[in-house]
Amino acid sequence: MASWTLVGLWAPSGVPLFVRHTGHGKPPPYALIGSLNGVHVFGESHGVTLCTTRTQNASLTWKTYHDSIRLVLVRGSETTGDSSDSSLLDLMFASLVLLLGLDTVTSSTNIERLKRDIRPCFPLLDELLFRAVGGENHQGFSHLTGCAECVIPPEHHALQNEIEKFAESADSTYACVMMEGQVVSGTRNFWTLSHTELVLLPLLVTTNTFTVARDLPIYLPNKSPNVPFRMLVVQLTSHVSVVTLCGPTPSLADMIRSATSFWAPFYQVLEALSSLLPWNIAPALLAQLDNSVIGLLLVNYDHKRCVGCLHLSEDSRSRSLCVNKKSAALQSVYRSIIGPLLQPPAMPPEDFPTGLHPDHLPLESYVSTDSYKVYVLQSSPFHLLVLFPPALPIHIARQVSKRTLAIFTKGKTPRL
Amino acid sequence: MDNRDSDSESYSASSSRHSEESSFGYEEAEWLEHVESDGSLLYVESYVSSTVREKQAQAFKASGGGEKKPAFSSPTKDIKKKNKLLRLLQRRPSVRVKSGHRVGVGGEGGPRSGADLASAPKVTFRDNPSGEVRKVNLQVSEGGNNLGRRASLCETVLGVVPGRFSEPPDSRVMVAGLVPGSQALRDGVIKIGDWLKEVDGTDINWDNLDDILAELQIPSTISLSVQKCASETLPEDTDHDRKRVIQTQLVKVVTGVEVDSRDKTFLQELPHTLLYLSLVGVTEDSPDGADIRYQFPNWSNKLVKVRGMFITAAHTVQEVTGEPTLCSTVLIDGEYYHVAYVRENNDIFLLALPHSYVSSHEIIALMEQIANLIKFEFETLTNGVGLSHNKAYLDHLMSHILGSVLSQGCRGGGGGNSQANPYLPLIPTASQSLIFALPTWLILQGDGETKLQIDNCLSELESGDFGDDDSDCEDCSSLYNILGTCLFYKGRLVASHLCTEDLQHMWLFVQHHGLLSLTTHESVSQLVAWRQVYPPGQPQDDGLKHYLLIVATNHMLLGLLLEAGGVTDFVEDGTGPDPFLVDQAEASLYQLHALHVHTVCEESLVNGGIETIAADEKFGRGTPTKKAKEKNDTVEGGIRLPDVPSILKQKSSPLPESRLHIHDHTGCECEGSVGETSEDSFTHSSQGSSLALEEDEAEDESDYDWRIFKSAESRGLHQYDLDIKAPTNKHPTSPIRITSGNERVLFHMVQLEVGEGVMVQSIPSPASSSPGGSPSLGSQPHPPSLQAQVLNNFRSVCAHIHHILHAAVRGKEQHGIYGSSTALNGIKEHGVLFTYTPPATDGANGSKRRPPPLSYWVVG
Repeated sequence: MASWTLVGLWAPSGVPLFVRHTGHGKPPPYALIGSLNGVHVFGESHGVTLCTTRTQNASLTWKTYHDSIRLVLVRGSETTGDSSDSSLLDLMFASLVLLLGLDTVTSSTNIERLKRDIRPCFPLLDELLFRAVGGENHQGFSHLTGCAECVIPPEHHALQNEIEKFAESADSTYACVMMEGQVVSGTRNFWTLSHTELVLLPLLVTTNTFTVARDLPIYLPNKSPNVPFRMLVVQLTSHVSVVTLCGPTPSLADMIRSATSFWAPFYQVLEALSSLLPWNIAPALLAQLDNSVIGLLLVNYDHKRCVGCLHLSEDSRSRSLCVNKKSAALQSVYRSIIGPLLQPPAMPPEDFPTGLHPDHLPLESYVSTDSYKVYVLQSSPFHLLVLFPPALPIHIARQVSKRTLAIFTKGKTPRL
Repeated sequence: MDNRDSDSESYSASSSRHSEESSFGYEEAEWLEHVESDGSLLYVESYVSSTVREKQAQAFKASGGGEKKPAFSSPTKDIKKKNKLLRLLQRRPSVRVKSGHRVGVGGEGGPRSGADLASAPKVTFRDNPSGEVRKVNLQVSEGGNNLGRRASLCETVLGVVPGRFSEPPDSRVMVAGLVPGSQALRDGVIKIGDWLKEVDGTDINWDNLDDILAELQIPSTISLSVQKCASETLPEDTDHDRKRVIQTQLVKVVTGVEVDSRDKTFLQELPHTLLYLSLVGVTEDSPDGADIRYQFPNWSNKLVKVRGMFITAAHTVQEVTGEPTLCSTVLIDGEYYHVAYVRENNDIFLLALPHSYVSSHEIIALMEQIANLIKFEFETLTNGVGLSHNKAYLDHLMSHILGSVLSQGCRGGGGGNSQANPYLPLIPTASQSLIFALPTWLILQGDGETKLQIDNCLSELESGDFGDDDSDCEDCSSLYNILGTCLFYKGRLVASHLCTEDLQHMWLFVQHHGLLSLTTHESVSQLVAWRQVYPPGQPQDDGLKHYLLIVATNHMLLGLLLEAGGVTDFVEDGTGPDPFLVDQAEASLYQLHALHVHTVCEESLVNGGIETIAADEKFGRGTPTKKAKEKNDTVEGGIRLPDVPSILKQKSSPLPESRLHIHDHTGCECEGSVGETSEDSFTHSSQGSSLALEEDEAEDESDYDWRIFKSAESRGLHQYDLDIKAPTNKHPTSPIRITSGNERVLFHMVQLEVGEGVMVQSIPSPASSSPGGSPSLGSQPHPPSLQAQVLNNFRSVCAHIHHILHAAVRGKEQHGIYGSSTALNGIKEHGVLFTYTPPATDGANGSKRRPPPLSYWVVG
């Protein structure tokens, strides 16, 4: 497994604020971190901003935010990934802002205090790092896609109505029902949150799920970086909880009461949701999927949603890939193809164009390896990555992928 | 007129001259006095004019311009006569020198009918349009001036050898010569040097000449309008140094003679630099810049100022990751720049270029090439760039390399920059991605006979076996031991007897010194280059020395890698090339010419491996021309390729004009010799219509693993080609590596280390687009640059695919602290489908239905 290191520094003075490291080996010693910073500072003073440096198997990315926090990411290399590195750093910084607020992060005068303040962010940062590395039990694609991870419930509309009503009753516009870190249903306003926020909020909810209910002050990195919201999380069933972003009222106790009474009639529905696990996809759709599909990732950039499904065909013949491997495969393919080749339609073009002619749009792609095949389809605003066993001929994979995309997108209303 | 045949005749002529010369001894070799003190040599001599065609014109001039000659009854006689003249010329170099004011520029006389490639002799007639305009009536008849099938239309129809006036942008057609036996010559009204203004009242210029002539009714009487230009010539260098080597502009660029200094302002706005930095012996109080051992270009910019940052970054990053640093990206004033590093001991070699010109992967590859080349030539970076006396030499080399990189222009648009090529403008040989540091192979068509001949010839040279005519060659073999040879034709590798590594170095040398592009774009009379080199992996301590000898004649370039010392005698430092050896090498080249190797090469180059298209048969599916489609709607998308030849034939028969605009999307395929038969074969050469896409189930399957599909267009497809294509398509699919369509795109595949994967590379053959003016061009729905776009995309995707495949292989050997992840290891195949959606065309042809998007695959 590759190693990744994230270093946070106080840009004006160069004092290291934190070092997070995953993977084997040790993070670089402080002296080296100092010179990594020094290199950047030296260039900066001459008007030259050092962005990335790469070696054969590793890559370093520097990024300074608001002239105050400098993040340095050292990662074991995937094939490509300038853009995903940079967006990962953005997520890292946003997660600092999410918990501390922009003012605290950028205009702190007491470095020691800032160091302490940042400590609560570590679980979130670590989760992001773990996901980036592809660590065990840290599947998830939201950090790559920039979209909230969702499940596709069978009774989508019923839930949608209820959550709207519930949010209204709680004086909140942002509310959603979450299951195991995936969004089941959210209010209309919830989906107006920025990509970063939609990625980080579910992550934040999953990183500490030890309690029945929680009241957490958070800042929205894009919407309100300086005015905190209260994030009230109330667990409804063993897997499902409801998340609301509120102002000063109601209190957590009130919220627990109202949530319990409000959602009680729907207990059966909510409980039934857990039957979606671990597929994340309604059984009706699941039945339509081809047997050869062993995993898929569907992204809708317009709706800022993505759904990953890794537990397909587990009972059948192809047990060769464990879930971790599938996840890693899809992540790698996503990283190496989408971005460099297929531009996500909702994202602005990267700083690192590949020199393709704008009139020539790559729409499909595939990667075939010894242990799997991945077929990638782009059909605006969707990206579909389908994982196949290695033995499947690629032209069949193409057909199946197209059919799969149709299952999710055709019909009266798009499923995602 | 028949270029190739006469060329070959002249080669044999020159080789016979050569043997004559060699009998007099070698002291006369012209290049001897050019050998530098360290023994290295780069000597190029151009023909007086770059094509035989011009020579012919010259010959006639020399013999009195419009002098009437009896009409030759057969072209063979004509050629004989020509060659007599040529031989005459070649035997007496002084004659050539005297007429040296007719130095030609660029352009070789390609046999393609495309006028854009035809020779452009720089003629010294003054641009004086005041002369009288005369009307000439010419009787033209079919085959009246039958000069072989490759003669240009102007020659066959009018009997006039077309030429151009001095400046290249000047598109007026000049009468550069008259075809013997033609009416034009007999009348004596049209004089060499005249400006050919009109044909049947139509203004003609260099670009539309062929098209207008093609439309003429034959036989008929046409009226030409010619204008006499003042026939005074430019003041000639009468005190011309007799010994002066005749060099064209390009040669001057290559050899570095008379380099004009260009406007540097653009360059200074464009930060880029090449630095060799060493901190050895640099103390705190050293003057600023003491650490810079080598710098190119010589002015300072921001990148140079922050060099300290790069040194530190290179060292620090290496410490952090445990691997050498390759490349950094920096942001200066809103622009991204890439900086590539090569580290030798504690010294850093830096190359910085803007992102708009190279991507980070490219710059890494480029840096590696430069470093390898320098190591090849100087043994170590320190010996090369670290020593000041090499500076002039390196400056010249770097101006070639960076010049060619920067001349490729801004990739990210804002194309205005590309015109302002900062450095010496070398015409790039083959536009290929920098990632692929390997020569492009020219796949010879025809049976293996030619290949065998070449191999034999090279082997003979290597073994010093020259048959009867060289009895004293023991001298040579005792001095040098030939390690290997390789042969390039017009910049493409034809044969190689070198191991891969040496070949790569050889290629680096000839490529970056511009020798390849020189031989591609003009034929040289003689080229000799000699250098002591240091091939890596060869022991340098036991007195072994290695030398590189490059000899070129016309478009062929022969490279030899020699070893001296060891079993052979010791060679002193600074020895120049052994005249005998050079002579032998040249003799081999002449022998190759005599074997008509160049003809075969040229054909392969032009036709793009038509023979191997057979493999297409099974896989691809092409839908014939859009035009054809409109004519015959029953022929729809889902046509199998086996039918294609016949379809094309069908189409071509109702359209018997000389040129068909075939808009063809033929799948092309490269398959590796991986030998793995896997089921996951997938072929899809999609023709754009969605109809074709629907029919995927019907796709064929193939047994091959690596392939590339690419559709491209062909324009100006001749029926001639179709005829060739049709029979070859009947052949069973042969498991050869390369297939290529008639779209004049030659695919190239390089197999790197075993099992690693296959890279593909495309080479547009030089005349892929015929000169405009064909009546159907107006209805072409796609912009003419489409093919270029396709190729460009193709190249970038190839680079991407290569990168992924390469990383996967690399990932198998973990090293460093930060190993790479393994999810993509074991990657076998990777493909991308492109869809080209043409921009909406409106206006005049608004009534036309929108052209269907076309799709193509790039698979690796």
